[in-house]
Amino acid sequence: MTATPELCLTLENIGKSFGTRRVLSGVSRTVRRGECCAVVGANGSGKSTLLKIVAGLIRPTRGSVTLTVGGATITDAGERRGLVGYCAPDLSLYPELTGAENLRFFADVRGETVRDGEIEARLSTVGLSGRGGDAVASYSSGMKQRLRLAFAWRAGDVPVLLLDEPSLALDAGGVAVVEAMIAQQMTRGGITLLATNDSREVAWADQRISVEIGK
Amino acid sequence: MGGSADLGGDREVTAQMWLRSMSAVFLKEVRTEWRSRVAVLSVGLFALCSLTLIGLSLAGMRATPEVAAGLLWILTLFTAATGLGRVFVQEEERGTSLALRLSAPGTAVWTGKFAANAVLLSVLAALSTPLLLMILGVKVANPVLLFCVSILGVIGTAATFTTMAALVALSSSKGGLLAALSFPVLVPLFLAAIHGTKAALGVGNAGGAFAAGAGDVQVLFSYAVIAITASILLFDFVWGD
Repeated sequence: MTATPELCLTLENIGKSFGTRRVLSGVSRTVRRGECCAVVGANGSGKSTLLKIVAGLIRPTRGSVTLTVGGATITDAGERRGLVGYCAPDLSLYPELTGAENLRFFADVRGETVRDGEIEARLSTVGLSGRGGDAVASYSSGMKQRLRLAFAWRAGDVPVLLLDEPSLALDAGGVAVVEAMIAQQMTRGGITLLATNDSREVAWADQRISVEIGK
Repeated sequence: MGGSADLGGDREVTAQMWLRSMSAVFLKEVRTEWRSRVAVLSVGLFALCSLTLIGLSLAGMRATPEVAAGLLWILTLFTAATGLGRVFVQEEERGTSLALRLSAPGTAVWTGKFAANAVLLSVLAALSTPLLLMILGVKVANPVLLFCVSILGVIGTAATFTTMAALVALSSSKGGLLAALSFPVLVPLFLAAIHGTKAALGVGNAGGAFAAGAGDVQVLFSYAVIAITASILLFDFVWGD
């Protein structure tokens, strides 16, 4: 596991509208290395949209996202995508492939060098040890969520971890995995953004952004 | 000097990573298709039904080479529309496009999916073309010309459908949009492909000379190069947002 020397995520006056419907407006925040920020708000208030904007998956209508990593300033969404680990309920992995094949595939397309046994280690981190050879189609909702977490966590070295309702469908063991991931990310100096309404998850964060419907 | 050497090294690493990424997408397409068989079954059934209906309607009569050339490319067009459109629609509908977008460069995704589509369509053309010509009772005057026209036509069709499929996947009305968008773009390709196929089947080319269809082969080659280049250059704009 590598520590991230210099890391800062700056959201500046972020706004997003879908047609005439305004979802986010004027969201500004700076999150520094080792910090975990909870994004809270009612359903439909734009928590997931904010995380997608930070991930570089959608473009904000107004404002900018700047990521500073080791002295380099990144504003391009495409470049940012490679530096974030993202887990969200609407993200799916390939049901025809096994859990291990999914992780291997995404590591390959990212150009990661994966050592022997590393995929099994990643599965083990999220409590899927021994189930990596099963097709994702046969996984339960909780197992799929654990695999999403493994997808986001990669080798435990992503500068920015974006977790949208990470404890969704998870049992107590799964929730402990999420808590351990966030703690580890904070210890190694990574940034975590957590979209949630779960008071237990909010308590893991050291700062929060409140978003309101239409504001 | 050192700087240029480093730059060259960086380019090499980037090219290697891109190739690895593209190959991973291609192999993933093949593997998921091998396990689900959705496209193979839909495309195969469509081709089989079409060939059976053509055979039944002719009832042993011989068709002219002109009709055979037209039927061959109608079969290719509708087979492509049936099977190739799913490559991006399925990613969007299942939610796997988010993970792919986060992980892979757009050009590598396009090229991997295009390669898988081209292989699927080529295999189908290799099976259906001899069958169709046999059913129609049409002889081939120049098999090499027919092969060149077929392979280049298939590559151009696969490139166009792969790009159009990405556009369609992001639109709200997916229905018949793929065929409607692709057809006007494919008209020049099909004009050359049909003309070249007629030459390969001996229409105005009793000796079966390759030169009779060489112009069409050049047009098809140019079309394929332009379609692939334009798609690679433009795809990041479609895929990025």
